[in-house]
Amino acid sequence: MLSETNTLSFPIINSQTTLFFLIAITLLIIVTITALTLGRYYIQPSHVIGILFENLALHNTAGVNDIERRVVELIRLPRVLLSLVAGAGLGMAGAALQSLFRNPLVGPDILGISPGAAFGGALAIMLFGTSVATVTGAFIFGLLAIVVVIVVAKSGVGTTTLTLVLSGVVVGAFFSALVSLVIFMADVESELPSILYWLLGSFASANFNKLLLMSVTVVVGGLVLFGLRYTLNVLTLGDQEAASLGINVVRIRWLTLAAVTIIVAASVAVAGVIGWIGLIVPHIARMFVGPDHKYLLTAAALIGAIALILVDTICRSLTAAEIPLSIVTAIAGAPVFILVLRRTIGMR
Amino acid sequence: MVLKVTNAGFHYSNSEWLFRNLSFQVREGELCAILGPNGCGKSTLLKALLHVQPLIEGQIKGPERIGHVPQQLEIPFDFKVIDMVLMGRVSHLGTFATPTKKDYEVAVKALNEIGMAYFSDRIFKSLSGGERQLVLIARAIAGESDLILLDEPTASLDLANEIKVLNVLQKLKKNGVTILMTTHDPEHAFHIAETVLLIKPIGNCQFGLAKEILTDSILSELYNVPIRSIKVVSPEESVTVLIKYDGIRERMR
Repeated sequence: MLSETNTLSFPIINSQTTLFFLIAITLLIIVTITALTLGRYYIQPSHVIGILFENLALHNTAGVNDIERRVVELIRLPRVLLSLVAGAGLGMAGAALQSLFRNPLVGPDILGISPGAAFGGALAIMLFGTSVATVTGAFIFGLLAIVVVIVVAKSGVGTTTLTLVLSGVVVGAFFSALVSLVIFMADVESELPSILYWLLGSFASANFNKLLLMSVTVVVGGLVLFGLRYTLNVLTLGDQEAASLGINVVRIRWLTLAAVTIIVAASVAVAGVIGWIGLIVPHIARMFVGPDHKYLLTAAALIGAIALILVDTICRSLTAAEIPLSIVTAIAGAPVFILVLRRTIGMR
Repeated sequence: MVLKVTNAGFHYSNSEWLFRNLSFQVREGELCAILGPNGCGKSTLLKALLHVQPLIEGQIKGPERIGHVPQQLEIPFDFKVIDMVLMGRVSHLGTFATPTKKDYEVAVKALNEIGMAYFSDRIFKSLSGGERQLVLIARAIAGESDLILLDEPTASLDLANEIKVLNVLQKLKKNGVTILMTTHDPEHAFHIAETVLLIKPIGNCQFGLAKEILTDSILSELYNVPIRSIKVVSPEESVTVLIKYDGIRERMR
C-alpha cells in the first residue's frame, strides 16, 4: 500500500474559484455600466461613470448634460439596480431550492409562490389599479401561497420533501386557475392589458421604493441562506441521511423556505413572474464553483444579477416597444439550459 | 454499556409486527452483528437507533452522537470525497456554522485511517461501490461518535472489496470503536463479531455471544436452509468456515 502521508491543507479557496469570482465581479460592473449607457437615448460610458461618481467629486463631469443626468439617475439606475438585485435573489433562491429538493430541475416556481403572487398582483390590478397595491397584493399572496402549501403538506404522515413538492404543484395549479379567473373577469379595455403585461414580467415600472423592497428581502433572505450554507450541503444527501448525521432537518427546511419565499414573492411583486433565472443560473454556477454552497450561493447571485441585467437590457433596447421579460428569459433560457444539461451530463 | 435496547417492537401502520420483544446491549469496543433474513427489520432497527424512525414500543438508551454508514447513498451533486467526510462533522457544528480547520484535520485523519487520503479530491459519485463504502466509513469515523452503525456494509461488493471493508472494521475495533452492523452473511459475524443479534420473522429474537449463538442448528433454522460449519486447520491458523451450499445440487434437481 502507498504510504499514507497527507499533503492536504485547509482549503481557504482554490485558485480556479478565486479567478471565477474576480471575472464575475468585473463582468457585473461592466454589464451594469453598459446597461446604463444603452437604451433609446445613448449615453457615453464616461458620462455614466461621471454621473455615478458625481456626488463623491471623484470624477470629471464635464460634458454631462441635465437630460443625461436625469435619464441615468431617475430612469435607468433604479431599473438596472432592481434587475441586479432581483437576479441575485432569484439565483440564490434557485440554488437553495435545488439542494433542498435534491433535484437539479426545480426552480422557484415549484412551491406555488409565483402563481400565488401572480394572483395577488393580478387581483390588485383589477381591484385597485395602483402600483403600490399590486406590489403589496403580490407579496402577501406569495406568502399566503407558501403557508397553504405547508398546511397541505403537513396533513398526512408528517411533512416530507415529496409531500411538499406535491402540495406545491397542487397549490400552484389552484392559484394559476384563479389568475385565469381574474383575467376572464377583467375589463378588456383597461385592466386586461395591464394584468397580462404585468404577468409577463417587466422592470419598466422600477423605482426606488421597489428597489428598497427587493433589496431588503434579498439581503435578509440571502443572509439566512448564506448562514445555512454548510447545512444546505448536508441536506442534499436527503432528509433521512441528513437527520442521521445529526441535523435538525425540519428547522433547516423551514428556514430555507422562508428565505426563498420572501425573495421570490418580492421579485414577483416588483417585476411580475420571471421564469428560468432561478432554474438555470444555479447550474451555471455549479459548473464553475462546484456544489459547495459556500461558493455556490455567491456565484449564483453574481451570475443571476448579470443574467437579469442582460435580459432586461435586451427587453428595453432591442425594439421600439418593450419586450416582456419572460419571453426573453424563456427564448434565451431554453437553449442555454440544454447546453448546460448536455455539459453536466457529459461530465458524468 | 454504549447501547441498551429493551423490548423494542416495530410495525408499519396496518401491518404485522416486524419485530417485537427485542432486547440487546452493546458494550464499549465491541462489534455486534445483526443477522436475519431479508425484510425482518434490520434496517428499520438501525433507523430507530438513529432516531429517524420511532419505535412503536420499547426503550433505547444510547449515545446522542451516532455515526451511520448507509447501505447505499445516491447524491445529486458532485461533492468531493473530502467534502463528504467533512459532513460527518456536522453534528459538532451549529446551524449557521461551517467546518473549521480542526474539523478538516479530523476528516483528513479519518481518510488516512482507512487508507483513502489519496481519494480526497475525487468526486464521490464517480467512485466504485467499495470505495464509496470506505468513504462513508471515514465519514462515520470523522463524526467521533461513541457508536458506529453500518447497514449491510458489504452488500453488493465484490470479494476483494468485501475483505477490504471487513479489514477496516477489524482495525476500527482494535482502535476501540464500538460497532453495530447488520449483515446478510453469517460468516462476517463468525469472523469479526463478539456478539450477535438474531432477528427472526416469528418474533422470538436471540442475543448473545457470537460463538454461542452461531451454531449450525440456529443458523439453519434462521435462514431455513441447511448450514454447517467446519474448522479448517492449517499450520498457521485455524478458521471456521460455513458450508452454506451444502447439498445444493441435490436440492436443485
